[in-house]
Amino acid sequence: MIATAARTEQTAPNATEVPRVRLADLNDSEVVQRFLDGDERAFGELVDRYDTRLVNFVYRTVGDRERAQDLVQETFVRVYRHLHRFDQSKKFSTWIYTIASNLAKNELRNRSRNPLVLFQTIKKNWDADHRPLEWEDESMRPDDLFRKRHLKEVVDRAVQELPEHHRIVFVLRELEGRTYEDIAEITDTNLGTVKSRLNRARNNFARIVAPMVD
Amino acid sequence: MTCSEFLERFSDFHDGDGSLPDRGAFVRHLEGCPSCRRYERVLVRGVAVLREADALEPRGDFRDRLRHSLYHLDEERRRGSLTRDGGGPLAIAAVGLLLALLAWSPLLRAGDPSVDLPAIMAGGPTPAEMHPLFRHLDREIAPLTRAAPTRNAALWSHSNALLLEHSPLRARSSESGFVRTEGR
Repeated sequence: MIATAARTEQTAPNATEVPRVRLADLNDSEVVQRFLDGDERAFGELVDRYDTRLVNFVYRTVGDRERAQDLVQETFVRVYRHLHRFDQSKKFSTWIYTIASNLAKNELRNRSRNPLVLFQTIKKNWDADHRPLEWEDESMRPDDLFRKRHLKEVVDRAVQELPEHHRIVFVLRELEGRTYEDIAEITDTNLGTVKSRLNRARNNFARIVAPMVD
Repeated sequence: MTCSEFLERFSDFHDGDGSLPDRGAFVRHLEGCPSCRRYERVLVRGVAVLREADALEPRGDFRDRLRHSLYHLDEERRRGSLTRDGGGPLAIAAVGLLLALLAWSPLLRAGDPSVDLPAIMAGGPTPAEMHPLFRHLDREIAPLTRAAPTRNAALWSHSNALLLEHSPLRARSSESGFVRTEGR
């Protein structure tokens, strides 16, 4: 566990001990293997690598900073609980993102238990998938000062306004830099669906931010 | 290439590694279409602003809370292994069975509980209490009750009298005027 890492650091070095490998120099698979072999510091290394990334990914997905922290906590607890069952032939990053993505989706699903909210969500998702892609050259452009001041807010809001299944794909691609194959695995869909959703997400995003960005 | 086709397949072009067979068509369309050029520009700029936004950091107590959660997880595992060795599930089942026996033990005792209740004897109104309209009934009935012999006087002062009155034997009785009175 993370707590024992500090205690092990304080033991006096023994001349006959094998030089300790820096965990930061190992890749994810090697760190996972170290943890499974009994090196509890290794789990702390995994937390170091993924905590900020996951908090931002989950925050962009659910739109709530505090809730994102809780969900990432839960993600690491689940990883700790099930790491011994993780298929090490797969990528650890994909696995941990899958857990975080599922928790975020459950969070969004729980929020839409209200029948009216659920109906609006279903309608919004259907419209987003079936509306023809469109783009207008002429658009209202606010003055420069207003744009600069509110650009970040508009961009953030544009992501939150994306339907859930588009938003996850958009954030994984544009902010996390995941490949199409990784995104397909994380979202449990196929490549074609990933491309279609990403295209629509980009189209929606561009339509919302265009007046402020350009 | 039309603008619709460009928008439909924009991700192939934007994320492609240059091996797209008709990549040239995309480039030529962009060169000739200011609207689609603006689309690409807006998207690239918008994503850049999104990436520049301050990254959200885990809260200061994030590690402590996680450590706390993992400690409890380890404790659960440790307790789980102890109960497995000590027949914990069997012990829990035994305690449950004992509690169930204690709760149901009154019903397991043989015999129905007997309850002794005094007989309820209901009497009719006295002539003075009766409504003037019905007092003549009492004058008509009373001679009949005096005349009709009771089979067993003891019956009428006992709860068994009620059973006799309402039994099929009573229904087969053809003696008219055989009216049971109480309280006289």
